[in-house]
Amino acid sequence: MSESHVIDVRNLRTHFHTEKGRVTAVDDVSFHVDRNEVLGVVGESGCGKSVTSEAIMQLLNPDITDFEGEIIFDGENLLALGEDKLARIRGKDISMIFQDTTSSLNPLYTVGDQIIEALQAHGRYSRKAAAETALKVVTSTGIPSPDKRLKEYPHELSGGMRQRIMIAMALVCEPKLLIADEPTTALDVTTQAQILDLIIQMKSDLDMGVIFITHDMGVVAEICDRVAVMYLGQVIEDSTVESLFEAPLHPYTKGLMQAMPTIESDPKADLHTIKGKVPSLTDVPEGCRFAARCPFRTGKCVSNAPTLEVATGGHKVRCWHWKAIAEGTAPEAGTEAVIA
Amino acid sequence: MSQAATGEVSPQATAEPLLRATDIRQHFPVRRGFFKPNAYVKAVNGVSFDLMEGETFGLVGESGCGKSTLGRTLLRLIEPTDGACYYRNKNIFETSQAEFGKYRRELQMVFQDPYSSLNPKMRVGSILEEAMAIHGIGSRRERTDRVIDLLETVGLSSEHYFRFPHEFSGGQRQRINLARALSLTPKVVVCDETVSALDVSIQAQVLNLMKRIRKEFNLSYLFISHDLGVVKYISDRIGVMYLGNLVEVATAEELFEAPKHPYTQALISALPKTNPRVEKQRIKLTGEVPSPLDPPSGCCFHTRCPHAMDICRKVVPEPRTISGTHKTACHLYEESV
Repeated sequence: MSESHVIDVRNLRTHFHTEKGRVTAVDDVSFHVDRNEVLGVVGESGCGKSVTSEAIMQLLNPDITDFEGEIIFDGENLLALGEDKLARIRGKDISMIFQDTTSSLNPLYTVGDQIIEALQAHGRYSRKAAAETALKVVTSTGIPSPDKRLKEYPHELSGGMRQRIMIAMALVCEPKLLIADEPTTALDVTTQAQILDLIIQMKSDLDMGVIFITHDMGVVAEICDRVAVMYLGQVIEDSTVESLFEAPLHPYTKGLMQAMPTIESDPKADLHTIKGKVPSLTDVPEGCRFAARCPFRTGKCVSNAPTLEVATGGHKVRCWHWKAIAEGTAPEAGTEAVIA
Repeated sequence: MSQAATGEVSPQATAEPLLRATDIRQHFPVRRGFFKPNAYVKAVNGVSFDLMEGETFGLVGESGCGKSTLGRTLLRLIEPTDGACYYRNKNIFETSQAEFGKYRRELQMVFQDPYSSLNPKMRVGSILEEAMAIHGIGSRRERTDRVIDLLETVGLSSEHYFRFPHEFSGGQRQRINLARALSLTPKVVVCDETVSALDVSIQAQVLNLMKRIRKEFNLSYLFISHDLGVVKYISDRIGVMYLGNLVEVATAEELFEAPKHPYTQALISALPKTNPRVEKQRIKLTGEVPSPLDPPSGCCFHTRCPHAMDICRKVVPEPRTISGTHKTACHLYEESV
């Protein structure tokens, strides 16, 4: 592990024990995040992006979950740490912000009290010193009249302001890694733009790494330095954001980018669709997990699972035919219409 | 905003609009105390627009701007406070509930949440037949045949007839919701955030389906969404709402190429970029949306507008025609008319 890596996830597997048997929600996921870098984790519902972040924070119920692999943070494997050590890391060295701010804040305490609680849980702060630090952090998030806001309850604030408070609370202990799980999905575009700016600014101020989970390719283009695209529990493409948007290599990434209507899409043409739907985790295909929906699949794809291979410098892809697809020589198999 | 002759705004300038909304208001009373008079949340505050036959009119705006309330008010799911809605030259706000039933058959709605909009205890077949039974359409046998047809139209199959809603994915449920709206052969379908809850790849499938159905059934959509990309893709004309007011109406192309109202400009500039290499100039809005309980005097946007002038604080701007199909309510364009 090089010095600059804040976190190194190596071959992470997360298994859940369910009524339908053992389900592997995250299967062989590896990535790392550097200081002052935003890694985007993209994918549709059920692809394992949130489970990955919850595994890093060790928020999953240990009675029904098994882990394999390593999550190296600060030279220690988080998967092997005891609960008391984890409690010291969570909220201090690794912080997290969520999509749903209403349920992430305690409605019975003022937001100021909740930020002070985070400080006092992780350090020796007098109430007065903690209150001063809280005010400083909240001011830096750009909330208007911060001293007044600290005395207010979560329901008195708008969604955008609550997300700013969440960010203040996450950053008050100056973490090395921030995990942001769809923090702007519930916000309007104008507020989203403000929050993204804030996260970028805080990232460079604190020199921290950020894992940014989202399903929105537009947000990825906006904020991320590198991107990991996930599909059904696996990373299927890993690249710098420029390289990904210039030339996505995996057919799924391509499909995802074309399926999203933007203000540049031609309204007369049909939207590109990805046929069928994501298979169930209880019934994972044997070969490539995307094969059933892929326009380029061959017999090899159905029977053999591809590995994540390096395509060009820093651009990795999990596909047998990426080269032929990129050169335009891969034959397009007629996929029978599957109904979603 | 007050009503104005909005006929010339449509692409088919000579045609009669299928649905004409004039000065629609929806004010919800808020009780403040026994001796105090009620306050009113002005969710929709004087909105006028036309919907032409076969057209998709998109309504965009941020949460709380009143776009969903407007859609519900038009179908009288909430009784309007004031205003008129002409459908085939008849003011449907003045009809009795019994008489309105006849019109409701032609004015249908598809909701956002694919999970709560289907009765979990009914089979898909019964869900789809219920509306037809209520309106007394066909015999039982004809209804069943029609439902099977409809299932195929929306990309499902007859084997889904006896299934329950929980057996379907979100995208499939929205297909069922569409089929239910179609079962009454409507003329106008109000789509309230119909694809917002779906994943991108599924959303694209449903959007393509909605476009196909519009052509096949000659429908008009009132398409409500907060997602500008989706609205641009599916709409012919777009109306932008802010704090209960329609601030700008234009064809989809005009609106994105040359937005006139400062709010529309800020909204479009806030969209995430589609290419990471391009630096995007942002118009930053400061402050928060004011409360609809106590909307600002004059122009509703003046508290956040980068171009606010004195007149904006005092006088409510009237919608003005910028060019044939482009209208905006803003004092900046006063002299040009």
